[in-house]
Amino acid sequence: MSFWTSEEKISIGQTKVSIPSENGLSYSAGQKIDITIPREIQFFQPKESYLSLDVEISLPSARKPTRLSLDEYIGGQVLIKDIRVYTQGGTLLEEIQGYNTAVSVMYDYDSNENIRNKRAMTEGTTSATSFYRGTDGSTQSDNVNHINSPYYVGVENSAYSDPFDDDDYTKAKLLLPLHTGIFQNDKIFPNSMGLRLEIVLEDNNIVFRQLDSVNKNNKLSLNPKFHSLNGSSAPDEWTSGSDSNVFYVARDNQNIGVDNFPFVVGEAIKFVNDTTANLSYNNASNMVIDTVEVIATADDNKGLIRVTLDDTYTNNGSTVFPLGSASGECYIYSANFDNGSDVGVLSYNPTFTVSNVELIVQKLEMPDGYKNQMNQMMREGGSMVYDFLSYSNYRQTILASDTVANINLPLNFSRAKSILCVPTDSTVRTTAKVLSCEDAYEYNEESTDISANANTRGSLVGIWDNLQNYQFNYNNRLQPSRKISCAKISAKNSIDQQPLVELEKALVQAGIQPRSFRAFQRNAVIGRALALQDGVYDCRGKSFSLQLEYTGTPPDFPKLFNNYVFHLRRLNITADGISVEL
Amino acid sequence: MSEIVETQEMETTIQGDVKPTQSNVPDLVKIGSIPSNLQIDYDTTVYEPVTKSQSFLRFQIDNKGILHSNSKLTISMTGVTESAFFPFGVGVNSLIERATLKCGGKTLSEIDDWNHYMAYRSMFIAAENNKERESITTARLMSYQLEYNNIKSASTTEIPNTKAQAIAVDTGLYPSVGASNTETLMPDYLLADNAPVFQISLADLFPFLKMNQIPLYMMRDPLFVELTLVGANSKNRLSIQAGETTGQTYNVDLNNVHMIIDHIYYPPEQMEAFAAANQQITLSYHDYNLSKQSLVPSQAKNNIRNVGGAGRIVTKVIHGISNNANDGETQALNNFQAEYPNTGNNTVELNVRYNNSFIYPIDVKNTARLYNLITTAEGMTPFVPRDSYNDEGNSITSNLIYGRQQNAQFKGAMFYQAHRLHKGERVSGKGIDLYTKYDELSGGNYTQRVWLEYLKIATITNGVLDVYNG
Amino acid sequence: MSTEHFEIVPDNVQANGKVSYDKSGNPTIRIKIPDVERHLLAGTVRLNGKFQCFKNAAEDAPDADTAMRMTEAIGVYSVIDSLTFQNFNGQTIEKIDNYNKFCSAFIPVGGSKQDLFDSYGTTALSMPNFEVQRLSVVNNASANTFSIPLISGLMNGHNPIPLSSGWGIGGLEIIINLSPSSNVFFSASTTSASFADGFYELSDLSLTGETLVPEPAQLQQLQTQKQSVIEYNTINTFYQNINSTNAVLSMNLGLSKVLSIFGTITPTNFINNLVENGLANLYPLNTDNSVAKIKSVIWQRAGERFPFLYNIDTMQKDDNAQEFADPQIVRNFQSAVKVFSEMGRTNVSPENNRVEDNTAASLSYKLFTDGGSTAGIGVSYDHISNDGVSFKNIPLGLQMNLGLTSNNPHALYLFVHNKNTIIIENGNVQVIS
Repeated sequence: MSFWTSEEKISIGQTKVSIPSENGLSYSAGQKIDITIPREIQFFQPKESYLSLDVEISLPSARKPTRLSLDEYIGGQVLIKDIRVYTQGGTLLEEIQGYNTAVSVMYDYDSNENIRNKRAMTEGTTSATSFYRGTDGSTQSDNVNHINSPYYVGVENSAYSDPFDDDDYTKAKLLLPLHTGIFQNDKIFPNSMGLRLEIVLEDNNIVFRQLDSVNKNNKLSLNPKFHSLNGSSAPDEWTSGSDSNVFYVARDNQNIGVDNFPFVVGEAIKFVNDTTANLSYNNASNMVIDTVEVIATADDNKGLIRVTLDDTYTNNGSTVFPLGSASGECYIYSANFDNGSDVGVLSYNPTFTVSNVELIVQKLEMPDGYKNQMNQMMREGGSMVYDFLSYSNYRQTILASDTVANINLPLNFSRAKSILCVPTDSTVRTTAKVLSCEDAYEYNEESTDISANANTRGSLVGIWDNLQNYQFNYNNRLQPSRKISCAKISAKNSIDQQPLVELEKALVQAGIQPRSFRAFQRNAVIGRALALQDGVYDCRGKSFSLQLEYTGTPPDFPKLFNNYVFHLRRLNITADGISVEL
Repeated sequence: MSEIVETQEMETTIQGDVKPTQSNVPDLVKIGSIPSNLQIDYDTTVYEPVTKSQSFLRFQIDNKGILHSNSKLTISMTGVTESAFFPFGVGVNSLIERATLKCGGKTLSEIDDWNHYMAYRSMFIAAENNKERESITTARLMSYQLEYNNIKSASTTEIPNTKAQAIAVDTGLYPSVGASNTETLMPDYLLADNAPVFQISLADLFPFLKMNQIPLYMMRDPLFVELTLVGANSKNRLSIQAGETTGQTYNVDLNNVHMIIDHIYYPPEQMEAFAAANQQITLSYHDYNLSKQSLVPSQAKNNIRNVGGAGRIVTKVIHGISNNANDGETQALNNFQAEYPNTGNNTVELNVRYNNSFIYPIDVKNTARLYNLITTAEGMTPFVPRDSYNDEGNSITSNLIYGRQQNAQFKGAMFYQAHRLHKGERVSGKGIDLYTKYDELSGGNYTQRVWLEYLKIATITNGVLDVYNG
Repeated sequence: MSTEHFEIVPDNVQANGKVSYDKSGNPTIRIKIPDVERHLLAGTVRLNGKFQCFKNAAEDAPDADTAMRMTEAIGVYSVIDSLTFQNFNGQTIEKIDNYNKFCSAFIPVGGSKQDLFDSYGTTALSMPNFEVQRLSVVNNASANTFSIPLISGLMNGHNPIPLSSGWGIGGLEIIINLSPSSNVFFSASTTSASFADGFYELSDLSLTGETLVPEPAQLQQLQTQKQSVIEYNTINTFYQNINSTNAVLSMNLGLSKVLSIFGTITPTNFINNLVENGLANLYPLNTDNSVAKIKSVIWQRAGERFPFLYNIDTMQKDDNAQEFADPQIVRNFQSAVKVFSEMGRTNVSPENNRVEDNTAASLSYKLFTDGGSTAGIGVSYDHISNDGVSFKNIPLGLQMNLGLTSNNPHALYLFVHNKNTIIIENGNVQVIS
């Protein structure tokens, strides 16, 4: 319906009601949220209904602070691990395991700047900002906005020495559309049997992210850069073995003011050389930020950010070379998970608390005649059918040593549309490992990013991991007629097109608009449309397998394949009850 | 017990009761079965070219099933050692000079200077889609971002947080700020020396397929796709970074050119019944006829030209003037541009005349109006910034893209026009006259390209294809 | 069926073809589309011309040091204060007051940032950054060409409009009341001294479009028809004043099919002020320029909460330190323009929807990038059946709890999106709303 055009339709009353969760006031990782939509709400519009909740992040005690948010691309959706939809009578209508991984596919491939902004305003995703922008040709990031975040307050552009702690975190209100078949259906939902939602929250080690601008292993050239110890127009180095308690930051990457600087007071930092990858640190303990301020007279009155550390530290690592040095420039990164010279040894366990959980339901008032007619039909023994496009997750693991794998899937749907296979990294990682991306899968090698970019999202997203080719085999036929090569994508600096051609068809059939393929390296998805246009495919009684070959460079990671099969599901609603047809 | 598959649609009458109606129920109220119980099977066949060379490719498609119009051609370059990339505006479409769809010796669809035509078509892709999607699928990269003053010598008070100074092409990378200039590059995976593979949709090659699907199983003769490629050393395949050696030969990887065709199958009895019931199928569609003329600036100042169309049902006239300079590869858009007069009075005036009357009562001079006329003709807006369209505003940055100033590359470089023929009549024997006044193009030789969109009819009678003008 | 292009010049401009609110003292543009035996294809209508800015009476173009700016997101739409469509009998068919204010809310919500570069940028002279727009449009020493659709229900409602005085509306007159330069321009700094006598000028104005020529048989049929009906959605503007912590408003809209309402807030001292932007859409401000955060919003109908059957309590209600815009407020504002779940183009983002103090230490509203501030409130009543909700003789209520602790009156512009029906009979028009 256009804003200006008018159509003649029957009048339908629309109101929004708020239904609080039933089983608690607040929730934490791993807990379950129950919400019931009572039968009294006879009709509602699922797609305009959404989950409203507040989330607050708490830093781990006895650890250094940093700016944390939820997943940069899916925001609050990362909190939902599994979701089930029942009738009030207990009939299971939908069950989705690995909900957040499915949403990561939806949000990565159905994405553009407008939609990301929309999600940033309402769902707690992060965004780009002109306040922090790269000047060294790095890949653009949507996870650099520490200036305007729903999770914590920003700082002003004045000397800043107040330690960053839990008081700086705020409750973020998030409005999350639920990406289940029923709740993404365009058609109104006849709620004669009531609905009950069960939402299982995700574990802590999956959901948190640091800014890209403080991470050593992702878009390093976007980090602040060491200028000098002297802050002069003839910048000096921090020689290995010498002491200092202050250093200056170059104006690169928009580090022109205290509010632009992505690190916080109390955060541990280290330096890494962009040419040698050598680290600079103190052996005994981490260098911790005490004060951040702009010295207007530095660098011949051009001004520089000066960082004062909480102590005088000896540089026990490599020399930190100054800006413009031929021996390599040095970037600053967050070392909260390191202990002195030891990298990644500290545990780091932030937590989240979810509260004020409500389901905002778009309730509809149908005309009395409409309702009477429906009730009469039901009383006469008729039934109502309600179709919706849903999906189920079939999971299977393969080992890192499996260079050829055959994934068999016992699909049992009469009206399947497509399948999306997401090979996630099943390595068990601590929060510290996820945040720092140490030993994570490297998804691309963009020369301007200096080093390969590592996966920041842990086990949430798919990884190519040197996959060379794949092919589906179903109904005793190989599809397509030849293996689909992914060698160029796995090489991390090129593109194979056929996987994207197949993925596009699969996404369309799954009801996901393929507006973007920019995630093709960082979120590997193998797709196959089982039917085209408005058609369906009957999987029942037919074999189905995915054949994978990792026959080039051996893979590095064990993988959990989340195979989401999108299909039309039917609810048969009668006066006596409801049944589900797959 | 009766089973009601679909809820009745209802309306409220004046008396307040409700009765069924077909039309006034909002679509989302129509609870019921999604109209999709139709079992569709399809198989994806990967075709190699039956004839291949650096100037010509021919594919033969099997006569099975129904051809899915969004099937794809995939193609890549090989052996590129220079810093080179596909032109920003057309991407991989630069490779194809002519696209022909044939069956049984009859030409269903053929577009000349297809790469130039795609430069016009590419204007209708939203900039967001170019950056997010097209850059990776077809190497088209026309999207924009704000550019800020970030030069290294500027002070903290001079570098603004939000005050931009210009607009620049958005490639997905931040600009690289040097001591005295700023340069934008593109991601490594788009560079030709990494041999990325790109795709071209069959529906883009042959707009006929946007409106029709070909029932291959009903055709007696095989379907051929013939693609004439631009010359390997024509300087029009790729664009190169400043300082790279010009005039190199850039080869298509002939071992890696494929057609990925989806053949759709409905239940056999349905397909047979359809074939039996449709001994003759008539498909109407639009094809494009090219008329070209060489011009020098003085001629372009006042040019009246008959562009053909006599006796045809022509729906649209599309035109633009591009520079013939033999240095296409030194430009980000290559030669796939339509130039706005950037000297003299910097004005344009034009009109179209057919069947004894002009389309516009007064010659059109307002360039923003010309932009809107494209929207009227195409039914969708072109996504071109003002500076690129009519050279106004001076907002494109002078900073670099692959060694060359962006404003020199993109200013006034996408000045296409389109006119919808408004009478709904067949064009008379006199044809269509195009009146253009470009005051004035800068020196050099130009080509004015005019595509006429006209109606064609194809019939398939007992498996034999015939094609004629509408 | 064939169409014919037309090009009509305004009938009240001076011989030199230039129009300027301030300089020529001609604040109105009138254009008449004659009462011919045709339908007007409203979707093809465009107002064309040239737009130029001058910093003083001597008609010097602004330069780099002139702090003269205009609302970058809407470009030349800034100059239209009200838009009226009436027939030759003077019967008003549609009127949108505060048209530029309406555009400043509607265009950024319904269009994307890239649209501000290209489609709006090329036709309406917009840009998604204040400085780039200043340099490329305001400071342009040559006149800028524009060609804008007159965004309105009549023009965008996709209905062919019968022009005939026999079977149609009896001709169409378009009246554009121009906005004074003091409400179009504002200062990039804290003083307007560098352009105190600045003004804008329109030239080469014309209205173009197409009319549908009926076939003879169809014309005969039209000439015998007694009555026809056109339905479209339109905007009615209401103005209210807010100057307290607890803003309680009650309005009689007098409209029977209200689809949605969206509203924007501007300090009243910004209006017609060369230093401040009277078209800015901000969160309320105190006199010390601290933001008066919205703590809660209640929409009512006949005294009861409607359609939200709960209070909208913002994040700022419990945590005054929270500077991120409340998602419920933002979502409801956007939903009033387009169904939120279907919204694929919008320019509202964390960059331009910020609950910030208007100070140098935070971020002055003048420095918001991506098209400027997009703050607003809104409510959607009906996005399914297009039938709307009646507020005829039923008051609309709005209660807002704000952090407005100082005496700083604000203008609240409410744009009510409602369905109109016009009944056309023998060249006369009756509007039912």
